[in-house]
Amino acid sequence: MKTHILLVDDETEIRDLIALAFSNRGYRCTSVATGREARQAARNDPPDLIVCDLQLEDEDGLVLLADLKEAVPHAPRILLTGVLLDPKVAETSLAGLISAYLPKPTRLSKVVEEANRLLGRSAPGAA
Amino acid sequence: MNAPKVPADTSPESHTVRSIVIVFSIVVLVVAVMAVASVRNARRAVLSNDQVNRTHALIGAAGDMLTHLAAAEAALRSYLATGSPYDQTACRQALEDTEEHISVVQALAQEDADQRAQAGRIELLLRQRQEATRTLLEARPSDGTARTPAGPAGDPGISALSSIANEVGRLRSLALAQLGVWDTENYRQAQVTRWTVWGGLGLNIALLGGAGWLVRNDIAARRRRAAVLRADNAELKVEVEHRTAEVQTISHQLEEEKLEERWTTLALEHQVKYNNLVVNSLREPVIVITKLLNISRVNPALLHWTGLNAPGLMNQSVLTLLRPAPGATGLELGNPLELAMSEGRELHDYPALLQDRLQRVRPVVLTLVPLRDGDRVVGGVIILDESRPGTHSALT
Repeated sequence: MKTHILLVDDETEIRDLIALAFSNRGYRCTSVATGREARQAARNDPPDLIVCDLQLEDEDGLVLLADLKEAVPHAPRILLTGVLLDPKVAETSLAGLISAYLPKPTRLSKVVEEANRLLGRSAPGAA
Repeated sequence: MNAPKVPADTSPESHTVRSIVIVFSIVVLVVAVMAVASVRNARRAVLSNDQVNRTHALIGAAGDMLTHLAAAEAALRSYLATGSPYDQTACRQALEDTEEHISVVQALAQEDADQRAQAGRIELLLRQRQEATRTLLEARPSDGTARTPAGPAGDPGISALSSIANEVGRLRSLALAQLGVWDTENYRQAQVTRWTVWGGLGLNIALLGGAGWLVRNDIAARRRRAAVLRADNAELKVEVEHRTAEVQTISHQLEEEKLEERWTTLALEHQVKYNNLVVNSLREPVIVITKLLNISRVNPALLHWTGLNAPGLMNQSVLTLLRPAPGATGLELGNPLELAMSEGRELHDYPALLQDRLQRVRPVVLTLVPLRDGDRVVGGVIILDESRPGTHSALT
Protein backbone atom coordinates (compact mmCIF):
# COMPACT_ATOMS: atom_id res chain seq x y z
CA MET A 1 0.00 0.00 0.00
CA LYS A 2 1.50 3.32 -1.03
CA THR A 3 2.10 6.09 1.50
CA HIS A 4 -0.81 8.50 1.45
CA ILE A 5 -0.29 12.29 1.41
CA LEU A 6 -3.03 14.91 1.83
CA LEU A 7 -2.35 18.17 -0.06
CA VAL A 8 -4.29 21.31 0.85
CA ASP A 9 -3.91 24.48 -1.29
CA ASP A 10 -6.47 26.77 -2.84
CA GLU A 11 -4.47 27.13 -6.12
CA THR A 12 -5.10 24.30 -8.58
CA GLU A 13 -1.79 24.54 -10.42
CA ILE A 14 0.18 24.42 -7.18
CA ARG A 15 -1.77 21.37 -6.00
CA ASP A 16 -1.19 19.62 -9.35
CA LEU A 17 2.56 20.26 -9.35
CA ILE A 18 3.09 19.08 -5.79
CA ALA A 19 0.90 16.00 -6.40
CA LEU A 20 2.89 15.17 -9.56
CA ALA A 21 6.20 15.53 -7.69
CA PHE A 22 5.05 13.12 -4.98
CA SER A 23 3.38 10.67 -7.43
CA ASN A 24 6.57 10.46 -9.50
CA ARG A 25 8.29 9.23 -6.38
CA GLY A 26 5.74 6.55 -5.63
CA TYR A 27 3.35 8.31 -3.23
CA ARG A 28 -0.42 8.30 -3.35
CA CYS A 29 -1.85 11.84 -3.16
CA THR A 30 -5.22 13.35 -2.31
CA SER A 31 -5.50 17.04 -3.34
CA VAL A 32 -8.13 19.40 -1.89
CA ALA A 33 -8.69 23.16 -2.06
CA THR A 34 -10.59 23.95 1.14
CA GLY A 35 -10.51 23.17 4.83
CA ARG A 36 -13.90 21.44 4.63
CA GLU A 37 -12.70 19.10 1.90
CA ALA A 38 -9.51 18.40 3.86
CA ARG A 39 -11.43 17.32 6.98
CA GLN A 40 -13.70 15.12 4.87
CA ALA A 41 -10.73 13.49 3.10
CA ALA A 42 -8.90 12.88 6.39
CA ARG A 43 -11.99 11.14 7.83
CA ASN A 44 -12.50 8.93 4.74
CA ASP A 45 -8.88 8.03 4.13
CA PRO A 46 -6.53 9.03 6.94
CA PRO A 47 -3.28 10.34 5.45
CA ASP A 48 0.26 9.43 6.48
CA LEU A 49 1.44 13.04 5.98
CA ILE A 50 -0.23 16.45 5.44
CA VAL A 51 1.08 19.36 3.34
CA CYS A 52 -0.95 22.52 3.87
CA ASP A 53 -0.92 26.14 2.69
CA LEU A 54 -1.41 28.99 5.17
CA GLN A 55 -3.98 31.05 3.27
CA LEU A 56 -6.95 29.00 2.21
CA GLU A 57 -10.09 30.12 0.54
CA ASP A 58 -12.43 29.34 3.41
CA GLU A 59 -10.20 29.50 6.47
CA ASP A 60 -6.81 29.90 8.03
CA GLY A 61 -4.41 27.00 7.42
CA LEU A 62 -3.25 26.96 11.02
CA VAL A 63 -6.81 26.38 12.26
CA LEU A 64 -7.14 23.49 9.83
CA LEU A 65 -3.83 22.02 10.93
CA ALA A 66 -4.94 22.14 14.57
CA ASP A 67 -8.08 20.16 13.71
CA LEU A 68 -6.16 17.68 11.58
CA LYS A 69 -3.68 17.16 14.38
CA GLU A 70 -6.55 15.95 16.54
CA ALA A 71 -8.11 13.86 13.78
CA VAL A 72 -4.90 12.24 12.50
CA PRO A 73 -2.37 12.64 15.31
CA HIS A 74 0.23 10.25 13.82
CA ALA A 75 0.52 12.16 10.52
CA PRO A 76 3.32 14.78 10.33
CA ARG A 77 2.21 18.24 9.10
CA ILE A 78 4.23 20.47 6.74
CA LEU A 79 3.28 24.15 6.36
CA LEU A 80 4.12 25.13 2.75
CA THR A 81 3.30 28.78 2.16
CA GLY A 82 4.18 31.79 0.04
CA VAL A 83 3.71 34.10 3.00
CA LEU A 84 7.26 34.64 4.06
CA LEU A 85 7.82 33.98 7.70
CA ASP A 86 11.10 33.90 9.54
CA PRO A 87 11.81 30.19 9.49
CA LYS A 88 13.22 30.16 13.03
CA VAL A 89 10.27 32.14 14.36
CA ALA A 90 7.83 29.92 12.45
CA GLU A 91 9.31 26.71 13.72
CA THR A 92 9.59 27.95 17.27
CA SER A 93 6.15 29.48 17.63
CA LEU A 94 4.41 26.80 15.61
CA ALA A 95 6.38 23.87 16.96
CA GLY A 96 3.37 22.32 18.62
CA LEU A 97 1.25 22.57 15.49
CA ILE A 98 3.53 21.79 12.55
CA SER A 99 6.38 19.36 11.98
CA ALA A 100 8.15 21.56 9.37
CA TYR A 101 7.84 24.95 7.68
CA LEU A 102 8.85 25.41 4.05
CA PRO A 103 8.50 28.63 2.01
CA LYS A 104 6.94 28.14 -1.41
CA PRO A 105 9.93 28.87 -3.62
CA THR A 106 11.61 25.79 -1.99
CA ARG A 107 12.45 23.19 -4.66
CA LEU A 108 9.98 20.36 -4.95
CA SER A 109 12.77 17.84 -4.45
CA LYS A 110 13.46 19.49 -1.08
CA VAL A 111 9.75 19.28 -0.17
CA VAL A 112 9.76 15.56 -0.97
CA GLU A 113 13.03 15.12 0.90
CA GLU A 114 11.50 16.74 3.99
CA ALA A 115 8.45 14.49 3.66
CA ASN A 116 10.73 11.43 3.49
CA ARG A 117 12.56 12.60 6.59
CA LEU A 118 9.35 13.06 8.54
CA LEU A 119 8.05 9.69 7.42
CA GLY A 120 11.32 8.09 8.47
CA ARG A 121 12.07 6.75 4.97
CA SER A 122 15.22 6.77 2.83
CA ALA A 123 13.23 6.21 -0.37
CA PRO A 124 9.60 7.01 -1.10
CA GLY A 125 7.01 4.54 -2.18
CA ALA A 126 5.12 1.57 -0.86
CA ALA A 127 4.74 0.89 2.81
CA MET B 1 26.16 11.77 -67.19
CA ASN B 2 27.88 8.55 -66.31
CA ALA B 3 25.87 6.22 -64.15
CA PRO B 4 27.69 5.14 -61.01
CA LYS B 5 29.25 1.73 -61.29
CA VAL B 6 27.59 -0.96 -59.26
CA PRO B 7 30.32 -2.79 -57.37
CA ALA B 8 30.63 -6.46 -58.23
CA ASP B 9 29.16 -8.79 -55.65
CA THR B 10 32.17 -10.42 -53.97
CA SER B 11 30.41 -11.95 -51.03
CA PRO B 12 31.18 -15.56 -50.07
CA GLU B 13 27.65 -16.55 -51.11
CA SER B 14 28.13 -15.29 -54.65
CA HIS B 15 31.52 -17.06 -54.81
CA THR B 16 29.88 -20.34 -53.82
CA VAL B 17 27.08 -19.84 -56.34
CA ARG B 18 29.62 -19.17 -59.07
CA SER B 19 31.59 -22.29 -58.09
CA ILE B 20 28.46 -24.44 -58.13
CA VAL B 21 27.44 -23.02 -61.51
CA ILE B 22 30.90 -23.84 -62.85
CA VAL B 23 30.75 -27.37 -61.41
CA PHE B 24 27.34 -28.05 -62.91
CA SER B 25 28.48 -26.60 -66.23
CA ILE B 26 31.38 -29.06 -66.21
CA VAL B 27 28.99 -31.90 -65.28
CA VAL B 28 26.77 -30.96 -68.21
CA LEU B 29 29.82 -30.80 -70.46
CA VAL B 30 31.01 -34.24 -69.32
CA VAL B 31 27.55 -35.71 -69.85
CA ALA B 32 27.51 -34.15 -73.32
CA VAL B 33 30.92 -35.64 -74.13
CA MET B 34 29.73 -39.05 -72.87
CA ALA B 35 26.61 -38.77 -74.97
CA VAL B 36 28.57 -37.76 -78.08
CA ALA B 37 31.07 -40.58 -77.55
CA SER B 38 28.27 -43.10 -77.05
CA VAL B 39 26.37 -41.90 -80.09
CA ARG B 40 29.53 -41.98 -82.21
CA ASN B 41 30.31 -45.46 -80.96
CA ALA B 42 26.78 -46.64 -81.67
CA ARG B 43 26.96 -45.15 -85.14
CA ARG B 44 30.37 -46.80 -85.71
CA ALA B 45 28.97 -50.09 -84.36
CA VAL B 46 26.11 -49.90 -86.84
CA LEU B 47 28.56 -49.10 -89.60
CA SER B 48 30.84 -51.86 -88.46
CA ASN B 49 27.92 -54.23 -88.30
CA ASP B 50 27.06 -53.35 -91.87
CA GLN B 51 30.67 -53.93 -92.90
CA VAL B 52 30.77 -57.27 -91.07
CA ASN B 53 27.53 -58.34 -92.69
CA ARG B 54 28.81 -57.25 -96.07
CA THR B 55 32.06 -59.14 -95.57
CA HIS B 56 30.27 -62.26 -94.45
CA ALA B 57 27.95 -61.92 -97.42
CA LEU B 58 31.01 -61.55 -99.67
CA ILE B 59 32.58 -64.68 -98.24
CA GLY B 60 29.27 -66.46 -98.53
CA ALA B 61 28.71 -65.29 -102.08
CA ALA B 62 32.23 -66.31 -103.07
CA GLY B 63 31.67 -69.71 -101.48
CA ASP B 64 28.35 -70.12 -103.23
CA MET B 65 29.95 -69.10 -106.47
CA LEU B 66 32.60 -71.76 -106.00
CA THR B 67 29.96 -74.33 -105.12
CA HIS B 68 27.98 -73.60 -108.22
CA LEU B 69 31.18 -73.65 -110.28
CA ALA B 70 31.99 -77.02 -108.83
CA ALA B 71 28.47 -78.16 -109.65
CA ALA B 72 28.89 -76.87 -113.16
CA GLU B 73 32.15 -78.80 -113.52
CA ALA B 74 30.51 -81.93 -112.16
CA ALA B 75 27.58 -81.52 -114.51
CA LEU B 76 29.99 -80.94 -117.39
CA ARG B 77 31.94 -84.09 -116.62
CA SER B 78 28.80 -86.04 -116.35
CA TYR B 79 27.56 -84.62 -119.61
CA LEU B 80 30.80 -85.31 -121.33
CA ALA B 81 30.59 -88.87 -120.06
CA THR B 82 26.88 -89.48 -120.60
CA GLY B 83 25.79 -86.90 -123.13
CA SER B 84 22.66 -86.53 -121.00
CA PRO B 85 20.65 -83.48 -121.87
CA TYR B 86 19.84 -83.30 -118.19
CA ASP B 87 23.48 -82.85 -117.35
CA GLN B 88 23.84 -80.25 -120.08
CA THR B 89 20.97 -78.28 -118.68
CA ALA B 90 22.32 -78.66 -115.15
CA CYS B 91 25.71 -77.42 -116.29
CA ARG B 92 24.26 -74.39 -118.01
CA GLN B 93 22.12 -73.64 -114.98
CA ALA B 94 25.08 -73.93 -112.67
CA LEU B 95 27.05 -71.58 -114.89
CA GLU B 96 24.22 -69.03 -114.71
CA ASP B 97 24.15 -69.34 -110.95
CA THR B 98 27.88 -68.83 -110.93
CA GLU B 99 27.40 -65.72 -113.06
CA GLU B 100 24.87 -64.46 -110.62
CA HIS B 101 27.10 -65.03 -107.59
CA ILE B 102 30.18 -63.42 -109.18
CA SER B 103 28.06 -60.30 -109.76
CA VAL B 104 27.14 -60.33 -106.09
CA VAL B 105 30.80 -60.80 -105.14
CA GLN B 106 31.85 -57.90 -107.30
CA ALA B 107 29.14 -55.69 -105.86
CA LEU B 108 30.10 -56.58 -102.32
CA ALA B 109 33.83 -56.07 -103.06
CA GLN B 110 33.39 -52.56 -104.48
CA GLU B 111 34.16 -50.72 -101.24
CA ASP B 112 37.61 -52.25 -100.78
CA ALA B 113 40.28 -51.81 -103.45
CA ASP B 114 42.07 -55.09 -102.77
CA GLN B 115 38.87 -57.05 -102.66
CA ARG B 116 37.68 -55.33 -105.79
CA ALA B 117 40.90 -56.29 -107.64
CA GLN B 118 40.70 -59.84 -106.35
CA ALA B 119 37.09 -60.14 -107.42
CA GLY B 120 38.15 -58.88 -110.83
CA ARG B 121 40.74 -61.61 -111.12
CA ILE B 122 38.23 -64.23 -110.06
CA GLU B 123 35.78 -62.96 -112.63
CA LEU B 124 38.39 -63.15 -115.35
CA LEU B 125 39.25 -66.74 -114.51
CA LEU B 126 35.61 -67.58 -114.21
CA ARG B 127 34.81 -66.09 -117.59
CA GLN B 128 37.58 -68.11 -119.12
CA ARG B 129 36.30 -71.25 -117.51
CA GLN B 130 32.75 -70.50 -118.47
CA GLU B 131 33.81 -69.97 -122.03
CA ALA B 132 35.72 -73.23 -122.02
CA THR B 133 32.80 -75.05 -120.49
CA ARG B 134 30.34 -73.67 -123.01
CA THR B 135 32.69 -74.69 -125.80
CA LEU B 136 32.83 -78.21 -124.43
CA LEU B 137 29.09 -78.33 -124.02
CA GLU B 138 28.56 -77.34 -127.61
CA ALA B 139 31.20 -79.69 -128.89
CA ARG B 140 29.66 -82.79 -127.29
CA PRO B 141 26.36 -83.83 -128.79
CA SER B 142 23.63 -84.51 -126.35
CA ASP B 143 22.72 -87.87 -127.75
CA GLY B 144 22.96 -89.73 -124.52
CA THR B 145 25.78 -91.96 -125.65
CA ALA B 146 28.47 -92.77 -123.13
CA ARG B 147 32.04 -91.78 -123.79
CA THR B 148 35.16 -92.19 -121.78
CA PRO B 149 36.02 -88.79 -120.34
CA ALA B 150 39.47 -87.33 -121.02
CA GLY B 151 42.16 -87.97 -118.40
CA PRO B 152 43.53 -85.41 -116.15
CA ALA B 153 46.05 -84.15 -118.73
CA GLY B 154 43.31 -83.48 -121.29
CA ASP B 155 40.97 -81.75 -118.89
CA PRO B 156 41.97 -78.20 -117.95
CA GLY B 157 38.83 -77.95 -115.83
CA ILE B 158 40.35 -79.18 -112.58
CA SER B 159 43.31 -76.80 -112.75
CA ALA B 160 40.99 -73.92 -113.64
CA LEU B 161 38.71 -74.78 -110.76
CA SER B 162 41.72 -75.04 -108.51
CA SER B 163 42.97 -71.62 -109.65
CA ILE B 164 39.60 -70.09 -109.11
CA ALA B 165 39.32 -71.78 -105.69
CA ASN B 166 42.73 -70.36 -104.78
CA GLU B 167 41.67 -66.87 -105.83
CA VAL B 168 38.44 -67.25 -103.90
CA GLY B 169 40.53 -68.39 -100.96
CA ARG B 170 42.63 -65.25 -101.27
CA LEU B 171 39.48 -63.17 -101.44
CA ARG B 172 38.18 -64.89 -98.33
CA SER B 173 41.52 -64.21 -96.58
CA LEU B 174 41.31 -60.53 -97.50
CA ALA B 175 37.76 -60.38 -96.19
CA LEU B 176 38.66 -62.21 -92.99
CA ALA B 177 41.64 -59.90 -92.52
CA GLN B 178 39.33 -56.96 -92.89
CA LEU B 179 36.94 -58.52 -90.37
CA GLY B 180 39.85 -58.80 -87.99
CA VAL B 181 40.69 -55.14 -88.47
CA TRP B 182 37.06 -54.21 -87.88
CA ASP B 183 36.91 -56.38 -84.79
CA THR B 184 40.04 -54.75 -83.41
CA GLU B 185 38.74 -51.29 -84.19
CA ASN B 186 35.37 -52.13 -82.68
CA TYR B 187 37.02 -53.45 -79.56
CA ARG B 188 39.14 -50.35 -79.31
CA GLN B 189 36.12 -48.11 -79.75
CA ALA B 190 34.17 -50.13 -77.19
CA GLN B 191 37.04 -49.73 -74.73
CA VAL B 192 37.21 -46.00 -75.42
CA THR B 193 33.48 -45.69 -74.95
CA ARG B 194 33.62 -47.76 -71.79
CA TRP B 195 36.40 -45.62 -70.36
CA THR B 196 34.63 -42.46 -71.49
CA VAL B 197 31.37 -43.46 -69.84
CA TRP B 198 32.90 -44.76 -66.62
CA GLY B 199 35.40 -41.96 -66.49
CA GLY B 200 32.70 -39.41 -67.14
CA LEU B 201 30.50 -41.01 -64.52
CA GLY B 202 33.35 -40.99 -62.01
CA LEU B 203 34.21 -37.40 -62.83
CA ASN B 204 30.58 -36.36 -62.49
CA ILE B 205 30.29 -38.14 -59.16
CA ALA B 206 33.45 -36.36 -58.03
CA LEU B 207 32.16 -33.03 -59.32
CA LEU B 208 28.78 -33.52 -57.70
CA GLY B 209 30.57 -34.54 -54.52
CA GLY B 210 32.63 -31.36 -54.80
CA ALA B 211 29.49 -29.33 -55.34
CA GLY B 212 27.94 -31.00 -52.33
CA TRP B 213 31.05 -30.13 -50.31
CA LEU B 214 30.85 -26.52 -51.48
CA VAL B 215 27.17 -26.37 -50.55
CA ARG B 216 27.90 -27.93 -47.16
CA ASN B 217 30.72 -25.46 -46.59
CA ASP B 218 28.51 -22.62 -47.64
CA ILE B 219 25.74 -23.76 -45.29
CA ALA B 220 28.27 -24.05 -42.46
CA ALA B 221 29.62 -20.59 -43.25
CA ARG B 222 26.10 -19.18 -43.35
CA ARG B 223 25.34 -20.81 -40.00
CA ARG B 224 28.51 -19.31 -38.53
CA ARG B 225 27.61 -15.91 -39.91
CA ALA B 226 24.08 -16.29 -38.58
CA ALA B 227 25.50 -17.17 -35.15
CA VAL B 228 27.79 -14.13 -35.27
CA LEU B 229 24.86 -12.01 -36.36
CA ARG B 230 22.76 -13.36 -33.51
CA ALA B 231 25.56 -12.61 -31.06
CA ASP B 232 25.95 -9.11 -32.51
CA ASN B 233 22.20 -8.63 -32.34
CA ALA B 234 22.18 -9.76 -28.72
CA GLU B 235 24.99 -7.29 -27.94
CA LEU B 236 23.19 -4.61 -29.86
CA LYS B 237 20.01 -5.38 -28.00
CA VAL B 238 21.82 -5.05 -24.67
CA GLU B 239 23.39 -1.80 -25.87
CA VAL B 240 20.02 -0.51 -27.05
CA GLU B 241 18.43 -1.46 -23.75
CA HIS B 242 21.25 0.27 -21.92
CA ARG B 243 20.92 3.39 -24.06
CA THR B 244 17.15 3.31 -23.74
CA ALA B 245 17.51 3.14 -19.97
CA GLU B 246 19.97 6.06 -20.12
CA VAL B 247 17.62 8.05 -22.31
CA GLN B 248 14.73 7.23 -20.00
CA THR B 249 16.78 8.36 -17.01
CA ILE B 250 17.75 11.58 -18.76
CA SER B 251 14.19 12.08 -19.90
CA HIS B 252 12.98 11.55 -16.34
CA GLN B 253 15.58 14.01 -15.08
CA LEU B 254 14.52 16.55 -17.68
CA GLU B 255 10.91 16.08 -16.68
CA GLU B 256 11.86 16.62 -13.06
CA GLU B 257 13.77 19.78 -13.99
CA LYS B 258 10.83 21.04 -16.00
CA LEU B 259 8.58 20.37 -13.04
CA GLU B 260 10.93 22.28 -10.73
CA GLU B 261 11.07 25.19 -13.18
CA ARG B 262 7.30 25.38 -13.39
CA TRP B 263 7.07 25.18 -9.60
CA THR B 264 9.71 27.90 -9.07
CA THR B 265 8.06 30.20 -11.59
CA LEU B 266 4.68 29.67 -10.03
CA ALA B 267 5.98 30.09 -6.49
CA LEU B 268 7.81 33.31 -7.39
CA GLU B 269 4.78 34.70 -9.19
CA HIS B 270 2.76 33.89 -6.14
CA GLN B 271 5.35 35.54 -3.93
CA VAL B 272 5.55 38.70 -6.04
CA LYS B 273 1.80 38.92 -6.20
CA TYR B 274 1.59 38.61 -2.42
CA ASN B 275 4.30 41.21 -1.89
CA ASN B 276 2.54 43.58 -4.26
CA LEU B 277 -0.67 43.08 -2.35
CA VAL B 278 1.11 43.95 0.87
CA VAL B 279 2.69 47.09 -0.58
CA ASN B 280 -0.44 48.19 -2.39
CA SER B 281 -2.51 47.83 0.73
CA LEU B 282 -0.43 50.31 2.73
CA ARG B 283 -2.10 53.59 3.64
CA GLU B 284 1.18 55.49 3.39
CA PRO B 285 2.52 56.44 -0.05
CA VAL B 286 5.51 54.28 -1.00
CA ILE B 287 8.04 55.08 -3.71
CA VAL B 288 10.64 52.50 -4.74
CA ILE B 289 13.73 54.08 -6.33
CA THR B 290 16.84 52.90 -8.04
CA LYS B 291 20.36 53.66 -6.88
CA LEU B 292 20.26 56.75 -9.10
CA LEU B 293 17.02 57.97 -7.51
CA ASN B 294 14.79 57.06 -10.47
CA ILE B 295 11.29 55.89 -9.63
CA SER B 296 10.75 52.13 -10.31
CA ARG B 297 7.52 51.59 -8.44
CA VAL B 298 4.80 53.47 -6.56
CA ASN B 299 1.79 52.29 -4.63
CA PRO B 300 -1.83 53.41 -5.05
CA ALA B 301 -1.58 55.65 -1.99
CA LEU B 302 1.01 57.85 -3.72
CA LEU B 303 -1.07 58.11 -6.86
CA HIS B 304 -4.01 59.11 -4.74
CA TRP B 305 -1.99 61.82 -2.91
CA THR B 306 -0.57 63.30 -6.10
CA GLY B 307 -3.24 62.65 -8.71
CA LEU B 308 -0.50 61.40 -11.05
CA ASN B 309 -0.55 58.13 -12.99
CA ALA B 310 2.00 55.35 -12.58
CA PRO B 311 3.25 55.10 -16.21
CA GLY B 312 4.05 58.83 -16.18
CA LEU B 313 6.20 58.43 -13.08
CA MET B 314 8.23 55.38 -14.14
CA ASN B 315 11.91 56.09 -14.58
CA GLN B 316 11.48 59.76 -13.62
CA SER B 317 13.84 61.13 -10.98
CA VAL B 318 12.17 61.16 -7.55
CA LEU B 319 13.51 64.71 -7.15
CA THR B 320 10.93 65.92 -9.67
CA LEU B 321 8.33 64.88 -7.14
CA LEU B 322 10.04 65.33 -3.84
CA ARG B 323 12.43 67.94 -2.58
CA PRO B 324 13.78 68.71 0.87
CA ALA B 325 11.73 71.26 2.76
CA PRO B 326 13.42 74.63 3.11
CA GLY B 327 15.30 74.81 6.34
CA ALA B 328 15.74 71.04 6.59
CA THR B 329 19.05 69.95 8.01
CA GLY B 330 22.00 69.05 5.84
CA LEU B 331 20.98 71.09 2.83
CA GLU B 332 24.30 72.93 2.73
CA LEU B 333 26.04 69.61 2.00
CA GLY B 334 23.86 68.79 -1.00
CA ASN B 335 20.64 66.96 -1.65
CA PRO B 336 20.07 64.80 1.43
CA LEU B 337 18.42 62.02 -0.58
CA GLU B 338 21.36 61.75 -2.95
CA LEU B 339 23.83 61.84 -0.09
CA ALA B 340 21.96 59.24 1.95
CA MET B 341 21.67 56.86 -1.02
CA SER B 342 25.31 57.25 -1.97
CA GLU B 343 26.35 56.62 1.65
CA GLY B 344 23.79 53.88 2.23
CA ARG B 345 22.18 55.70 5.15
CA GLU B 346 18.59 55.78 6.26
CA LEU B 347 16.60 58.94 6.71
CA HIS B 348 13.73 59.06 9.17
CA ASP B 349 10.98 61.68 9.36
CA TYR B 350 12.89 64.03 7.07
CA PRO B 351 10.82 67.08 6.13
CA ALA B 352 10.11 67.34 2.44
CA LEU B 353 7.69 68.82 -0.07
CA LEU B 354 5.60 66.58 -2.37
CA GLN B 355 4.43 68.06 -5.67
CA ASP B 356 1.17 66.89 -7.16
CA ARG B 357 -0.24 66.87 -10.68
CA LEU B 358 -1.38 70.46 -10.40
CA GLN B 359 2.07 71.59 -9.24
CA ARG B 360 0.82 72.12 -5.76
CA VAL B 361 3.20 71.21 -2.97
CA ARG B 362 2.32 69.39 0.13
CA PRO B 363 4.52 69.15 3.20
CA VAL B 364 5.39 65.58 4.16
CA VAL B 365 7.94 63.68 6.15
CA LEU B 366 9.83 60.93 4.46
CA THR B 367 11.64 57.82 5.59
CA LEU B 368 14.31 56.47 3.26
CA VAL B 369 15.56 52.88 3.63
CA PRO B 370 18.33 51.81 1.23
CA LEU B 371 17.84 48.35 -0.21
CA ARG B 372 20.93 46.17 -0.04
CA ASP B 373 22.11 43.11 -1.85
CA GLY B 374 24.94 41.96 0.32
CA ASP B 375 27.15 45.01 0.77
CA ARG B 376 25.86 46.85 -2.25
CA VAL B 377 23.06 49.39 -2.26
CA VAL B 378 20.84 48.47 -5.19
CA GLY B 379 17.93 50.85 -4.56
CA GLY B 380 15.75 52.34 -1.89
CA VAL B 381 12.26 52.61 -0.49
CA ILE B 382 10.75 56.02 0.44
CA ILE B 383 7.70 56.04 2.70
CA LEU B 384 5.82 59.30 3.09
CA ASP B 385 3.66 60.51 5.93
CA GLU B 386 1.72 63.58 6.79
CA SER B 387 3.97 66.24 8.05
CA ARG B 388 3.74 66.77 11.78
CA PRO B 389 4.31 70.29 12.93
CA GLY B 390 7.76 70.86 14.30
CA THR B 391 9.08 67.56 13.04
CA HIS B 392 12.72 67.70 11.93
CA SER B 393 15.16 64.92 11.24
CA ALA B 394 18.78 65.12 12.11
CA LEU B 395 21.15 63.30 9.89
CA THR B 396 21.59 59.78 11.41
